[in-house]
This record gives sequence, structure tokens and C-alpha cells, in this order.
Amino acid sequence: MNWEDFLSFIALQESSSLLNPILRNAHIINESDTSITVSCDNLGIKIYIDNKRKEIEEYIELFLKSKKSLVTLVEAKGKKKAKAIEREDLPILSYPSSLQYVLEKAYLQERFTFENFAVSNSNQIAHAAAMAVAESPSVQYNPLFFYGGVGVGKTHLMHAIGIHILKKFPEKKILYCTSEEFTNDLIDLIRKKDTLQFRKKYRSIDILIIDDAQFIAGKTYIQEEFYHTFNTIVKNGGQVVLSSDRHPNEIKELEDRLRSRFAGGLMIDIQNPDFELRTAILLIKAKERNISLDIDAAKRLAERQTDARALEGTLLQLYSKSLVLNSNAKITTDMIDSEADKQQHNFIQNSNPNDIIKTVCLFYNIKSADLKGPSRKSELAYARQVTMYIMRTVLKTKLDEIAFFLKRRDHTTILHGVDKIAGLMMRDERVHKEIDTIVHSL
Amino acid sequence: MKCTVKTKSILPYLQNASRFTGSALSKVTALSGTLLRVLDTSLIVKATNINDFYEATVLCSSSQDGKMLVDGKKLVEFLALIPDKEVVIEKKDTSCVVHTSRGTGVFSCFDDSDYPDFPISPVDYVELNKEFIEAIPLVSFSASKEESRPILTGVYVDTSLEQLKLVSTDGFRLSVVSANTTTLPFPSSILSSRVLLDTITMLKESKSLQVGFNSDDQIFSFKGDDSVVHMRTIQGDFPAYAKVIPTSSQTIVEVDRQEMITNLKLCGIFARDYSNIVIFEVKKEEIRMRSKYEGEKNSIQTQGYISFSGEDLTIAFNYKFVLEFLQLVHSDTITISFGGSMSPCLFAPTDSLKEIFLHVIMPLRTDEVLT
Repeated sequence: MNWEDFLSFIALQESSSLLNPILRNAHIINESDTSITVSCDNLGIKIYIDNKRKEIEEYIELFLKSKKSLVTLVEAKGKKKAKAIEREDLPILSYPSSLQYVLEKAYLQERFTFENFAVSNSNQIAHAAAMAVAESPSVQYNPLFFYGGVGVGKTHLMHAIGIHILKKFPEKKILYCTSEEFTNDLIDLIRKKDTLQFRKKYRSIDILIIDDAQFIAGKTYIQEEFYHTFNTIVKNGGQVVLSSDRHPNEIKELEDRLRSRFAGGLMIDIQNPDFELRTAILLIKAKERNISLDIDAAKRLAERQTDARALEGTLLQLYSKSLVLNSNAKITTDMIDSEADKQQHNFIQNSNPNDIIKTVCLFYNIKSADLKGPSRKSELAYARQVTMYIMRTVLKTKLDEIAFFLKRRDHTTILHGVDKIAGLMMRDERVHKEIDTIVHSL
Repeated sequence: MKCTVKTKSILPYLQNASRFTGSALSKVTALSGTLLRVLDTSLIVKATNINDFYEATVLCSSSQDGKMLVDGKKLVEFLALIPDKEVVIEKKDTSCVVHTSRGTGVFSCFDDSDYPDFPISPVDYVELNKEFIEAIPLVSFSASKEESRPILTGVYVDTSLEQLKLVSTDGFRLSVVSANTTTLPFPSSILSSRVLLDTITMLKESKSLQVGFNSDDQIFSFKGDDSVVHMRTIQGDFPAYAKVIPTSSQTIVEVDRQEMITNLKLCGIFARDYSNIVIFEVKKEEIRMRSKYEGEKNSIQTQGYISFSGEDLTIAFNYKFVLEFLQLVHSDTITISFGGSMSPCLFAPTDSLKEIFLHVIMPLRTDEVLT
């Protein structure tokens, strides 16, 4: 219901001279099939409206031609924004030593900052955009949408944005969460019949940071709630930052209105870190943990370990080995080679073709029965060929075994599929990224 | 409606009433008016902004019962210029007519059919002593003037302890007064600082000042001899103020209050161009105050101490915050306790108020202090 139109309608009725002007100090915040919720600037207005509830509900019925109950709550809405706190001002209510408390409240992790974010060609635009938003939230790119594969630094950048904003604007209300947490929160409060509490929590935020936004796809009510939350925050001058593992256009079952909202800001692709960036990340992580790692060892490790997320884990494994093997706890290139070979061997031992089939089906959103079936539809055939390629190159499975798993007639089909994907990977960067993403998620 | 009333009697009440018709909601015609009601020999003056309500009773004569809603501010301006001791106020059709020896003033009446109902007065009232009245100005100046954060525009009346505490903060400074009175038998609440100060100003000359609480409507009523102010509480949780009061200090100084006022006013001439920032260089020999970026130029003000203990430090303040505190208290000297360049500082008078009043100001972060 358009509130302004409703107020104009009331003005034409024989209502009290006070009603319409007072209703202008209320704002509709939610509407369902059976009720309309309005927020009032203060308790006096709420009480006045509550006393006139019956009259207002009659007007609503006349206006909408359907009965809806009126719910009121008090929500202070500054008609003018509080003066921006100058850089020098330190609020008394959260002075420097409580930064940790403030970060905890916002669910931000102090270890993810701009200072320890390694920048390279694959992520420098994302880094620049993140810095711009952190310096001046809600001014430049709203929303800011990062997408990319696993371990490329999306979460790091999002935390860094939040921390930077909190340091610069301590009075801002910031919340970081994953879309799964958003969903769980909503479900929990629906169960407790307290959706107003949910809306109060999320819609009064100045900066909302949502990680893994792709998981709201396919969930109608969650998407609707998120849509309204998004609109309210942006309308109130807030900033939204999101991330996903793929471009919004590639997120299936995502509502068009959300897709269009995301497209209204800036969408940035973060590529997998290249060799130089992986080396830089290793050196940063080694320094943070006081691990002795020279540049040659860092380069070797960056060569052997292409998964950015696994870099730190591998580094720590090597470090603990080095503590046992040599007294100065130095990580050598031999240790790196030996560990990498061992990991490869373990991976092949522990993985099986069914894992690959499952992962590919999940990625392309197809059924495993269709993947193994006789259908030659292009999307199924393509997914099938990707499966063949991964089984062959990663698990080193024999061609006839692959044919058996995928219910193909003979090994030549498999060979053709593997070669086709190998060729596509060389020509098309997008295919290369897709395969990498699937392999990493194994 | 018609009555004859002494000009000097009614004027102050109309002026008080106009304080309640000056809110944003006063664009609503009915709420921009003052209600006048004659009941026998009483003229009742009422005004409200829907959250706070004012009513006063004035004696009148030659009366005819009735009521009307008029533009109170215009009426005040008119009556202030009238030399007559008495005026006749009457309602004629839809106008309010004021008869004076110089002629008449005609004011349009507003539609009063939907004028908000006033809260029901509480059953029980409790006497307020002068300590409470004197405490209000000591806290209200620290409350925020920004409506975007309503909680901070209020004074927190903390009745949870044995002694009544009044607290206010705007986020950058904090005032706490332990009123020298036993606590009130009402729940701790947040009251609008502006309205509370206005109320005390209006009612402080009363022989008796009482307060009551209506829990259904969440309204406090302050009753004087012939006026009542009903004040709605501000909903929400007041910040945990106790945590920010410093409990230890690195440096404590005592300085002459008037001298510091003069020095700050001098620095303020230059500090105005730099966000009101004044740098305090607190050294063992003296305290030096200057505007930011002034360096060694001659706009530095120096001041000696009555006493000094601790270490040298450099700290920056919004000089207006410090000046407001200095001008509010009356002691010859004040003490400042510094916890460090980035820590909240405690300001206190050195007279009898020091037992009950403390003021905390948060310093500013500037490059000159950090380096």
C-alpha cells in the first residue's frame, strides 16, 4: 500500500484534522495479507494512532477494499541524519580500547584488514572498490558485490571494509553475516513469532555485509525479506556489501528484482590468485605467524599449492614438520616438494569418481541420473565432459573405468570428452575457472 | 466563553504553554494552538506536542464557561505590549477577541474537536526537594541536541540505587549528578532533557514541587502550585554510562577556573576555524593551550597550576565542551584528571558540588596528539 496515497485518501474523508498530519509522522515498514505495520517517531504518536486504530482500519478497508489490521511500533527515525562525526571526535560510549568489543558485536574478525590483504592483478580492482566503500560508505558503489571462486579473498575484503568503517566511523552500526545465518535468524524468529525483532535487527543497520549470498536462491520468503531489508537500508542511507561464488546472472532461482538490485551497484569478479599473489600471501602469513620462510621456498610452495585457501594450512603443516626435523625450524624446498607429492597421493587415494559426479551435478544444478543418462542435450553433454576431464586429470582414472561410471559405450567417447574440455580450457578463461572451482570444492 | 483576567497573571502561563507548541508536530494546526477553557472562576491554559503536556490554572472573573483553541504565541506577543492590568478574553463565533483599553485584538480559533486528551494525573505524588531542582541544569547541558538519537536527548533518572542519580550524555561527554536526596519510588526512566529543564525553570518558584508517575501511559507528572507538566518517558535503554567513568588517572591538575575560561575564549577565536580543537600541553611547569596548527605562533595561552601531580601529556579537546563545564560550575578552581591522551578525562569543581557532580569529556584524536 502506498502510504502517501493512503494519506491523501484520508484527507478527502471527513476525518479529524489531527489524524492526517499525525499519520505523516508514521511510516509503513511492512505489509502482509492481513496486517500493516507502521513505525512511529515517538511514543506519543504511537499512542495517538493506537487510540484511533479502529477509525484508521476502517479507512484502510475502504482504501484497499480488504480488511487489514494495523500494528504500530516506535522506531526513532532521524529526519536529519546525525551530523557526521568528524574524524577527530572520539565517542565516549566506545572509546579506542573497546574496538574489540565493537568488532565482536558486528561479527567482524580483526585479523582481516586492508593492511594484510595482498593485492595483485587478479584482485586489485576489487581492493580499490572495497577501499572506496570503506572510506565513504553509501556514496560510491551501493551495493558492492564481489564474486569469485573459493579462497580468492572475498570474505577477507568484506571484513576489512567493516573494520575500516568502524575505525573511521565508530558510531556506525555494522553487521556481517552469511546468507545462511540471515536465513536461520529469520526462521528462528518466525518460530518465536517475533519477525519484528528480526526486522529491527537487520533494517536498522548502517552497513550490512552478507557473505555467500548465492544461498538465498530458491528460497522465496527469504528472498522477499532480504529484498525489503536491502531497500530499507539503502533508503536510509546505508551500505550493502555482498559476495557470492558466481555472478548474479548465474545464480539460478534468484528473483529478478534482486538481480536487478545487485546490478544497480558495482559487481566485481575476483580471480584466483596467480603465482605472484600466492607467493605474497605466503610471505604475509609467514610473517604474521613468525615462521621463517625465504622467498624461494615461498615460490616453490606457491607453485605446488594452487588453492589459495589451503596455502595457510599447508604452511602450518610444513612449519610443524620443520620444528621436528631441524632445529632452526626452517622450511626447505625439499620439504615442500615431499609434502605436495604426499597430498596429491592422498587426494587420489581418498577421492572417488562418485564425489566428482556429485560435485559436478551440484555445480551445474543437474541430476546425477541425467548426467549418466543417454540425453545429448548440450548442457548435460557439457557437464558430462567436464566430469570425464576431472576424473582423468585429477584422479588419473582409466578411460574405460570412466566410461563405466558414466555409462558410456566405450573409451573413445571419454577421450573425445577429455580432449574437448582441455581445448576449451586453453581458449576460454571462463571454462578454466569453472573447472578450477569444481576441483577446489572437491 | 468569556472571562476577565489579570494580564500579568495570564502572560507567564501563556509563555510557558508556547514552549510546548514549538515542536516539529506544531505544523499540525491543532497542536500549534493553546487551549483556553473557562470553568467557573478558573481559566485553564493547556498546550501539548502529543508527548508532553502543560496545563495551568489562573483565576479569572466575570466568566462564562467555554473553550477555544488559539494561536498562543501571537496572543503572548499581543498581551506583552498591553499596559492594561486586566483584559477581557471572549470567544465570538470562530474568533478569539481580546478587549483592551486601546482596542481589540482578534485571533482566529482552530478546530478543537480533536484536541488530544490530557493524561490522567497520577494518584500519588512525591515531594521533590531543591537538590533535585538544582541538579537538572548540571546534567541537561550534556544531553544531545540531535533528535536522530532520542535516547541521548534525555536525562536518565536512575532510581535503582539508594541515592537518586541523574545522568546525561551526547556521546562525547557525560554528566553524572548524585542528587542529595533519597531515590524516588518510580522506575528508572529517561526524560527529555529539554522538557525537564523547561519544567524546572517554569515550576521552581512554586512553594511545592511534586512528581508522580503513571505507569500505563509511561508519563511523569511534575506539579507546581498551579501548573502541571506531564512528560512522556523516552523509550529505550540508556547506555551503560558507569563503564566510561575513569577510575584512575595519570595526571591530576587543579587550575583557576576564571583564568582558564579567559584562556579558552582566546584560543577559541582561532580554534573556531579548526573544528573547535584546542591542544592542551600539560607540563609540570604550566599548561599551554593553543588552537590546532598554531605551532609556535603567539596565539598560545599559558596558565599555571594550583597543583600538579603526574606526568606531562598532550591532549586535545573540543574547547566548547570544556568551556561549557567551566561556565556552569561556580568554584574558584577546578580539577582535571587525565588518564592519557586518548582516554576520557574527569572534570570536577572543588566546592561542595564536587561530592555530587562529575563531568567526563572525551578527548579528540588529532595527528598532533598522536605523534
